[in-house]
Amino acid sequence: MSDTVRSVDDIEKWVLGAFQDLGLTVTDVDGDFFEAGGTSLTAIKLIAKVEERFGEDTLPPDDLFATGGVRDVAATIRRNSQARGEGLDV
Amino acid sequence: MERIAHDSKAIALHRRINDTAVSYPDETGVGELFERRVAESPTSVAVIHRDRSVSYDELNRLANGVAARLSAAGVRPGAVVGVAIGRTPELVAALLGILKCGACYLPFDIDWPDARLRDLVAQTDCATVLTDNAEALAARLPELAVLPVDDTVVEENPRTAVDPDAIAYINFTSGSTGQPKGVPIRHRSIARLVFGARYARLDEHSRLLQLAPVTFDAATFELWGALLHGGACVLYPSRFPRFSELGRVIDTHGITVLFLTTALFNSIVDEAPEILDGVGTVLTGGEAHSLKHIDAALRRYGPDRIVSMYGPTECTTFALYHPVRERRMGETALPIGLPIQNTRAYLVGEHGLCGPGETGEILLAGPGLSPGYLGLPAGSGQFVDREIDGAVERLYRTGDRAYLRDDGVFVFQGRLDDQVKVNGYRVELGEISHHLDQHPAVRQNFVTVRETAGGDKALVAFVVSGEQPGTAEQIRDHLRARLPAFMVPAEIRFRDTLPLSATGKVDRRALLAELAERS
Repeated sequence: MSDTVRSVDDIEKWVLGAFQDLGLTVTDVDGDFFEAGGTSLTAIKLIAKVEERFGEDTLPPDDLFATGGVRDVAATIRRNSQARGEGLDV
Repeated sequence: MERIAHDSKAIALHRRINDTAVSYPDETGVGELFERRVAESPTSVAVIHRDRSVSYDELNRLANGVAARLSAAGVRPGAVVGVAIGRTPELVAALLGILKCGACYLPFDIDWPDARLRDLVAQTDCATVLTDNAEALAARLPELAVLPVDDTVVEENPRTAVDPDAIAYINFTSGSTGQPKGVPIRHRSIARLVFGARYARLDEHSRLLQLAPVTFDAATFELWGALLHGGACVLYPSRFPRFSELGRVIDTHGITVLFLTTALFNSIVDEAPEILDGVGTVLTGGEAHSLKHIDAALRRYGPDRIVSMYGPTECTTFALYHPVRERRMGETALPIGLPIQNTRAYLVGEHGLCGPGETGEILLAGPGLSPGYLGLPAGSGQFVDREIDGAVERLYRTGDRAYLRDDGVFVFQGRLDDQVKVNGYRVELGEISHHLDQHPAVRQNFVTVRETAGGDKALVAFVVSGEQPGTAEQIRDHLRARLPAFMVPAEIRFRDTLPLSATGKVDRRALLAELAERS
């Protein structure tokens, strides 16, 4: 894993791609997980993807259910990864 | 009395599969059955939540505290008490305390819209609610007496004798006419579900995971399956599950039995199968199973580890079970199996009771049956009395179609109506359609289910615009104010007309094909 913390935009891009991989119809970073049809089950899959990529507890379910925007999710991941002192190599 | 006709082959098969009677403690209520376990082993662990373990004795005293507070607040046997408490030992104590004083619990989800909460309260004459969120609930339901949970303990068990035929709880299911239907369940039916269980080993060594929302009847099994046997109920620590935490909880606490909705089971098999390696029995159900996932699970976990469960809320959580042992050549669907203990299942077609190879509707009977929908006369709706094999049976017509294999095993064949299952939730499309119809921007509508690119199911509504203009978002807001989130279609598509098939029905296939082309 790289030491450098990359720009938030990279995480946003990754999140957008993850939403799309799950079959959600979002086209840009203004999209929202739940507006695009994300369900509790899709949420479990998204969290698994995020944890695999960024580490455990980087996207707590309660945070995702509170705000599901691409930017919000990326911000949550960024915050929790930094709190863990890990680099974000996207 | 209408009689269900039968020939000798059909009746012989039904007699054989319905020979399920085993003795179970049906002489008293759930509260007293629990108190017997307390007397036997007061120091055993009853509930585990995060790093807190609550013994049988401690839980009993907390529950007695709840019962005492309810009685002091004027709650009498037969009253309905709302429950809106997070998944904590206090939730379990509240449910037990309500049962101990002869009242019945009505689980709420605090996220349901006001209109739905008010409808439930009105339908059930609920006047009291126990909650860990008193401030928010008091503001939303000002006419209710709101009791915040606390840590009052009382040594003595209440002296109320509870009739096993008294109502223990009420769950609501989607109703096709637009109003959710209340399904009351008796104490006796809970005992029927968890004693003499054929589908899993339940005893004082059992550790059951409590994962389902209490508004969902799988929780009946998870809670009472542990607590009426002297086993431990492990409460899932977060509100929403995720694979990493689920795996940790299963390993740390040595879960022996758990229930997973079909959709969650499939995702685990696909993406994190290792988390179930140590579980003795995995029960799964709620929707038709995918053979692909069942095959993968059979290869990984081996025979008799996965048990497919079938059952409507109206027959107390589970009615049929099918341990996955082998897959037959040419099988196109996983069977839903045979009746569990103290449960009778009938397959009835146009000409009466079905024989091997015939197709009909599944009817259920036995002590698991609800006395009938709330506010409807006992013999109405899907609940009917019929003469079968010389005796009168009260039956619940499930609306599920099946055929019978030669060995009496039921194989699910779909629905007779337009009830659907969306990621484990039972949804009447008619209930959504009804609320869409009330919106001025909607002239005609058609709601259906489609599969997303990610393999999940999603609701989609096709709408022909009405007199007034409106956006998809406005219509979704209208639905959100009336329906739980899982019933609000993810997509609303506007159309000039709805295409009709040759039979004059809305052409679902054509609509879905269009949708697939556009995305």
